[in-house]
Amino acid sequence: MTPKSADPAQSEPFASDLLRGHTDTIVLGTLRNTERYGFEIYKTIRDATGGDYEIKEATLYATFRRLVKDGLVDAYWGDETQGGRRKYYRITDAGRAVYTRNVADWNATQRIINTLLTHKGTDS
Amino acid sequence: MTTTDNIHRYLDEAFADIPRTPETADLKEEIRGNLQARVAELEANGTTPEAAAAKAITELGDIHELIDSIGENEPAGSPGDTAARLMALNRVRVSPAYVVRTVLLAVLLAGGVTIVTVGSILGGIGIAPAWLVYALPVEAVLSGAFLGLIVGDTLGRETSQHYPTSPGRALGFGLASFAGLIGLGFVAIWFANPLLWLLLTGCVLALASLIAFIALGVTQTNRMKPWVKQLNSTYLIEDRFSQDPASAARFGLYTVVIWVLAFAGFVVLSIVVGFVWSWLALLAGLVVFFLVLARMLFPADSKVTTHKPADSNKN
Repeated sequence: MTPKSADPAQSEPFASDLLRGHTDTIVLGTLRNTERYGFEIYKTIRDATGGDYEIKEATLYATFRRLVKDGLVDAYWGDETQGGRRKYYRITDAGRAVYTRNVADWNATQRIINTLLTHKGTDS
Repeated sequence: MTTTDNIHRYLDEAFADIPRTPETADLKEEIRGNLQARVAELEANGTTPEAAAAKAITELGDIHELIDSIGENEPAGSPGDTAARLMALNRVRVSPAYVVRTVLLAVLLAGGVTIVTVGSILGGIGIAPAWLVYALPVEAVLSGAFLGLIVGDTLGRETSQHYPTSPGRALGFGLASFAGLIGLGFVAIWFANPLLWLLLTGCVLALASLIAFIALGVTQTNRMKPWVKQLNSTYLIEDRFSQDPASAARFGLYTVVIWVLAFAGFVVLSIVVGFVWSWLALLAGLVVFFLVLARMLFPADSKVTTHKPADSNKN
């Protein structure tokens, strides 16, 4: 894992690589309560962080495909009669299980990292 | 960063170099829909259309790597795999409200048709209470309305395999079903309650419905989506009758023989023992017809080979 952003154009005050590793879980999280289409998911993530973290849409499309292939979300076209056609994603029960597990894993990891980073050592 | 201010041109250029497969077409449409949503949002905030399109494309990021990865792992599977893949890509949302509504209407419709049928028979043999006989025409109209609503509602919806029927035609089909069922119902009720207006109205409605269906039928255009048509063209070849025209011809002859015998039996039985039992001849004909159809489509030696199945000719 490389520290900080690998993109020289913008240096974010957080490890975007670390975030990118959790894209699947983040997307699953946005789908917990309702079905959404691609741009809606993008917007939800953007607005939830107050614009701090703008996930690349191209990354999202790859994520959607992977999640569908693994059966964690269902994909289907909406039946809108006007405007562009939208592909909707809905979380499956398998997706919920994976989401819950990933969140639990993250919480455990976060606790350990926090402990380790603040640990001053018990040198005698 | 090349600035393009037209999302459609941008997509066409981005997808120009890769072979067009169902997967890539699907991705292209999905990105297009999302770009349009973003452009609409920006325009609502006062951005000019060109600036909005350019901003949406910039935000999208580099999609070429993604497109290449989709284009690469193109599975070349059996026709069954292709069908499953296409079906998964083209799924359209089924609205839960529509399903609930249709199931409710179907239950009401089944109940209505049962009441009208049973009521007419009981009335015909004179053991139905008078209030039931008077209630039957109302029930027939209600049943017609339920059927019309189901038909119109269903045809007007986009499904995974079909585009929606235009609103006018969906309404036409709905009204024709509405009139047709009322017509049939009224004629049936006429047996229980021989009023001339029931018979006349029933016949006129049934006739009008028939004419409407014929008119709508002959002007019907294709509703199938391209992927279904494409799939059908490959699947027709796997159908047994297409593979073996001789068995199709044989089945045609069997059909004629079965129904000639069934109708002859129906007429003879009607004269000899009456209508109470003569319908059994038609039922027997139907049963034999489907048994023969099953036998022809799925022969006992289930291997579909070129050799002719050794059927003994019974006609």
